[in-house]
Amino acid sequence: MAFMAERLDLAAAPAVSTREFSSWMVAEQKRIFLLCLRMLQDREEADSATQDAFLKAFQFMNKAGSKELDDPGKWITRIAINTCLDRLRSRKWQLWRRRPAPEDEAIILEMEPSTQPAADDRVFAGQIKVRLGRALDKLSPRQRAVFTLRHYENRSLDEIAELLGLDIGTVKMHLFRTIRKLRLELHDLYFGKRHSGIRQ
Amino acid sequence: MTSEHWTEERLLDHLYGLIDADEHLAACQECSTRAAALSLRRTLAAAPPEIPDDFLAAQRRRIHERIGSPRRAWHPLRWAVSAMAVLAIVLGLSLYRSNPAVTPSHDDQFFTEISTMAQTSAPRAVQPIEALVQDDTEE
Repeated sequence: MAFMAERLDLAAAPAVSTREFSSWMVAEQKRIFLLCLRMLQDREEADSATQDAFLKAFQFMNKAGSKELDDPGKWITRIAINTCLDRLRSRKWQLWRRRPAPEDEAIILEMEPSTQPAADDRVFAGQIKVRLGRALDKLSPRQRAVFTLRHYENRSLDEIAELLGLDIGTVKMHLFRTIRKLRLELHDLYFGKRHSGIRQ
Repeated sequence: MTSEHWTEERLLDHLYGLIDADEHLAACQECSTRAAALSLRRTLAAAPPEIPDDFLAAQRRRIHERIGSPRRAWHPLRWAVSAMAVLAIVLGLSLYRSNPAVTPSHDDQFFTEISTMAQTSAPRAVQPIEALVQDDTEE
């Protein structure tokens, strides 16, 4: 990334130009917004978290003595994840937050998937999105981050560990617990059965 | 190769990377098909939604606004909170000071009533009636 390389030369004059920052932001913005949207499952909050993340990034880059970044993409991802984690933790106190409507969930559950692989998989994908999005409320913020990075972003466990600053064993433990917590939803969605029909 | 097919539980664990494939999964047509189907469903489910370009452009504008005026974004709020706090303190103090002024009048009234009661020769039982009459005439 051009402007990152220039940062090395700008050590004495630490301010990064708005134009350089802007071109970098354009390249990363959609990915970061999607990550926030998947973690927070709320468009407005994801919008706000994305803004916060880039604002923090800009402020950091303009700090005197800030060091060159090896991987700006990974760095802004980490900032976005931490911003989302803060927001998820503060949700515990937001008792007024809207809960998923039970009637919507019932309608989704009524839609039994077909065994035909291609076309119905697309319908099924819609169900997976809706149900999983709601089921994420069952998870702790960290479990949610691990699951989001694995399920939606298809990141390896090593990558997730690096992004969250955890060891691989802890990531596996979080993911294992998450899959057990989402067991009913995942079985319904992947195997197309109601809660009672889990085959071992 | 073991003859037992993979359970759904194991397939899910494998899908999310918790367990590796074994000889059975690699060799068994049925299990590998099921694993591939799960993988496809997850890929479809994780497909990103459409994000309109104008939404992203508006978001960038807001970020630039915040970058351009981080202090202005906060200062009016801080001043408003400070002004409200000062106002609340002044109001509280003025109310506190105005209350004691009321107390002596209550005390005066009380002592007057005691004095009247001590001086009157009427029976105690008729005092409320007299008081009512007295209040009416005063008004």
